[in-house]
Amino acid sequence: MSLFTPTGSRWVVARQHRYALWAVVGLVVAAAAVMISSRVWADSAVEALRAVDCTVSSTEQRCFQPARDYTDAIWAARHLIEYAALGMMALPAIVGAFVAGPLIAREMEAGTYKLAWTQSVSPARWLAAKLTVPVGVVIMGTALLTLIFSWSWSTGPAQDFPTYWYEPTMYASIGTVPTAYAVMGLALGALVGLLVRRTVTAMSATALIIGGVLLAMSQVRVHLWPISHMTSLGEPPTAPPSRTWRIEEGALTPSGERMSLSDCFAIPPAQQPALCKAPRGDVTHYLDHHPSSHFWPIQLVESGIVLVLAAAATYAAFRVLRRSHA
Amino acid sequence: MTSALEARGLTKQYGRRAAALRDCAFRLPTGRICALVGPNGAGKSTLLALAAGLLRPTGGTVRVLGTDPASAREKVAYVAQDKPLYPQLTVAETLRMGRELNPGRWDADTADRIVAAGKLDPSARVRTLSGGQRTRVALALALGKRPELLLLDEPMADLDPLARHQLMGTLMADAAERGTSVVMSSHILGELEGACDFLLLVDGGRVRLGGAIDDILGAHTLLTGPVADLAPHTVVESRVTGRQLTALVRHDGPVDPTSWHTTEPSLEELVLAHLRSPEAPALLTPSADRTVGA
Repeated sequence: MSLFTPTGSRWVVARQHRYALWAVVGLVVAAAAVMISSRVWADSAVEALRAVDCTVSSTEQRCFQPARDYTDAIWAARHLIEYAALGMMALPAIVGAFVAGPLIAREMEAGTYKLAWTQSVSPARWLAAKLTVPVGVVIMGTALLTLIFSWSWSTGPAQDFPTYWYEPTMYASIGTVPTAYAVMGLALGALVGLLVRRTVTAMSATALIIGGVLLAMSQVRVHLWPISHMTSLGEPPTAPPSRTWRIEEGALTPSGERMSLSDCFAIPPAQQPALCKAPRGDVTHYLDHHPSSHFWPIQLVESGIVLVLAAAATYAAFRVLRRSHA
Repeated sequence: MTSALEARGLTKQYGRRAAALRDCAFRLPTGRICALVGPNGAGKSTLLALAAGLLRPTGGTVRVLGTDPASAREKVAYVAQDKPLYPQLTVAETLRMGRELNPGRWDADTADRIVAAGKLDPSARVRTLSGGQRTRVALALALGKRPELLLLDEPMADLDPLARHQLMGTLMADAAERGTSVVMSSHILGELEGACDFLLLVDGGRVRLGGAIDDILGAHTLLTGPVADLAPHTVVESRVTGRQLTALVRHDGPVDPTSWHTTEPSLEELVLAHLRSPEAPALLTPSADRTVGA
């Protein structure tokens, strides 16, 4: 951390948690290594297949083994990137738990806040330093990981066994959303740490709350941007399969009512309404979806909501602090 | 004249429990070395934490060096009872922290001298230090701030007699040199007697006695003699053994020396008599009374 030389309260925070700062660097390097190796692994598999002049779908005898090796390698690379995505999802909870526990609640639990607050620096400045030191590290770290992830994911093993942008884990690992969630984790962690004042309890509570927010947001995500509708007579509407988030599809009754495919499948064939059994060519099909052009609008709206939450939590944390001390 | 500490109706209640401090009013003039005494759980720590700005009073106000505790933060040093320090920092880093957090005030020489007198290794981590060594580092941090008011909660409890004597000497010399006001709490009076010239006796969340020690001692008489009515003097405590009466009174006018044998009580006798008699009225001498001369 010789890039910047903090002074005052920030020096104290950086000094207290220098091992944690190095651990963050280590974690970022390890995560980047996983993402990069996924990409390299997939590339080398593609290269190996091409070297023997085969394709996956080749029916030539000599291509069976290379094709099998290729599939195994791509599959493994895909697993790697999926694990990386899970790690990216866990990141806000990890950040939040660290801020809530070791950074803040431990000071309350061990009584060292009495030391910090009776120097010439006010408790508000103390909390500000507790937030500003990690926020830089968190933003830089997540943004960097997000970039590496996007590069590895969008160009790597996505060829034959693709993962899609609208999958919850992938969606939460790319774009602006991961950084916004990490900042929210920080702010929520500070608030919970000040309220709970017990290291372990504060850490678990923060992780649970952030998990809850992630889950809730993944449920409402589809409604964050107006859904596109398509209808077509005879054949279901065509949309690029790998890039379209298909939300609901089915057929329209003559009166304009919707009968979705999933509704049809939910009913035993004997009781299905006529529309479910009507020949495809006779009905109007509809498709509710988010095209890939909705990726950024949804990301930005979600990031905005999450950052507003972060701001509210930060404000509340300073209020809690004001309430308890003079 | 500004006061080092001034409380008015000061009350602090934790949750629904009985108030730790109830309606305290007193004044501590500047430049005094004040002994804050009282039994365990009397409210001494609460009073100091309120003065240090760590707690918000439930009612009333406390003024520190003529202003509110938050504005006085730079001019006040506080050492909490458990001597909190960051265990992962070294002694040298802890002193560096003092410099970083007290820009423009930090006196590195004083702090270094106190640490050096304890033969502490500057590169030792605080978590490896003994209780007494931690007290020394905490005091170095407090004095390095060059406070105008020094609040010490049970400062000497962890120290061996030699270190106690030496650190108390350092503390007193520093306070005398700079005219620092000091408030030291203890439940062991002997620890503070001799060093202090002002007394605050806190018991059950109330200030029972407050004032210059000489004034307080001078206001009381220990008398022995025949059993008789002690009016108009205020009886703090009296004991009858056979036909002999022993009493500590707050005299109103001279005590008749012909019928009683009178002596001035020691500070310890005075404090213990008040603690044994919770119903004895409180006494604030003029120097400790907010309403006089304010």
